[in-house]
Amino acid sequence: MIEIKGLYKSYGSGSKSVKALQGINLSIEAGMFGLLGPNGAGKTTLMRILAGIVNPSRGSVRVNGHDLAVESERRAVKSVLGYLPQELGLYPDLSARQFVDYMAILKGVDNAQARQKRVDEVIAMVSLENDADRPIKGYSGGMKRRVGIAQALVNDPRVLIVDEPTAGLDPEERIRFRNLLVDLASDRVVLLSTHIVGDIGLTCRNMAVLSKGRICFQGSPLDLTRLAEGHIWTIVSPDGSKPDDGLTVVSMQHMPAGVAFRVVGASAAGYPQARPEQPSLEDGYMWLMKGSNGKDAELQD
Amino acid sequence: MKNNSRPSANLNSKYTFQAFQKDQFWLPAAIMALFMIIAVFINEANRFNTFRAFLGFTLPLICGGLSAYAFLEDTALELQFTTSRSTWKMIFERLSIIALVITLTALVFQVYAYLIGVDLSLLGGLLARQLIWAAPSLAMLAFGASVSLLARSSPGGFAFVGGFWTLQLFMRGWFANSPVLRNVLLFYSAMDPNTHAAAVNQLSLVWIFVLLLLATHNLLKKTERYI
Repeated sequence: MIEIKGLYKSYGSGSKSVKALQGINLSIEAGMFGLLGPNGAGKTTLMRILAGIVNPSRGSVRVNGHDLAVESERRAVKSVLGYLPQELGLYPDLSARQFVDYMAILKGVDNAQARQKRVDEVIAMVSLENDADRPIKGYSGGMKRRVGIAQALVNDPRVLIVDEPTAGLDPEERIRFRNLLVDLASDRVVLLSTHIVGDIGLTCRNMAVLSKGRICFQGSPLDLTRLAEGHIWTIVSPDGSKPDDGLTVVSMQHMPAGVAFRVVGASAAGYPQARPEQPSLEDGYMWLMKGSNGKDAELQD
Repeated sequence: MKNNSRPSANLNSKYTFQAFQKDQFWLPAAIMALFMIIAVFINEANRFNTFRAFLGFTLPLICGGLSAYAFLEDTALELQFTTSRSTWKMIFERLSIIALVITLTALVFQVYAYLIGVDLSLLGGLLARQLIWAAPSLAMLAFGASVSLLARSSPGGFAFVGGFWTLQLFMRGWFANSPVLRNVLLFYSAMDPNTHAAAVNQLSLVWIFVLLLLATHNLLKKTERYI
């Protein structure tokens, strides 16, 4: 349903030019698709291009067969689009119900009765029924995020693009939201962009990893996990000294026998006590980023 | 506390106003109140000039200033850009509210003039008098919107509006004496009402409004400049 071919995006010109995307090719079918990558990898730029608010420098994007480069077709895409931006701005003086209703009107849901019904539905989906008539300025960060999710769903979009949706949500809300996304993905495209590896592993059938504006992996979370097979070890260091020799520490834990380091790298031959481990998705991502950047990547969450 | 009031109609203008243009109501009201007070205390001979100054000089400035803040101060601008609504519709929603507020301000001020006995007929008949503030206000409405988009900044746009208005104010004599430049002088029809030249000036300002509105449309379509 989403076809991206040879997509480039640069900001600025001349020596100050920043290459945000460099030759992206992606095909995304119905279901949950995860886009993972470190901060500054180009995820938000890609999301904004798909949402029709940023123009590519080169390449083509087709959503449901519509070419985003053509103004009339872009409007057709927007009419079936739900979008939750990374930096969500709301209107503090409106209530959640008013805000979602306003967005529904702007999205062309003109029938007042149908709109009211849909507004009630999405307010309930994000569990805001009891607070829906209070001004948004009194909401917590998580509640504001839920208003953002409600507005993204109000036009029953066929393509849902969510950029860092779980930022600011508490663990319970995060789980609820992940489940909601999976549920919605049964009959539409849900594109989840995040730097939280766990959210992708728990929800997406297919995924891609973006680094420095390029796709450096495309496949299933299991495929990414398998990339790290034979490259993960636990090394217990009695004196707490950090393993080196090109190994990257994924996690560490203080134990009675010393400090246990979970490491990823090409070889742990320099550490006879190293114990091979089964890789996780996070390990796979770290292994990929080591190869992609030639240096350690930072994981968040 | 939950209330049961439910949105039931297509109320996007109301929401646009409630959401972020509400403050725009207070500036014209406050400046109008100031002129109303001045008009009471000033000597009778100068009262007419106070009313002319507000209608023909100050209202266009207020209009340009408000329109400089019409688009980019929107906290949910990125979401607004992802909707399928046309750019023209968005421009209409934002600028029509300002035009309405300016119109109401002008009409209330004229009613006040009538109530305190100031004769505005020197500015022309009832309809001609409206063109004295409406034509320059329309030009400034589109000017404020387009320059703020060009500058990608509402305060930047406001500075352009203020600078342009101040330049014209101080050089109004020079503009008025030029057969060409007087057609872009915002205050010309207030300075020299009921003349053919004033009518040409008003027509010219309406054309400038149309051209700048087209520029506003083209600028607003380039959504990535503003997010």
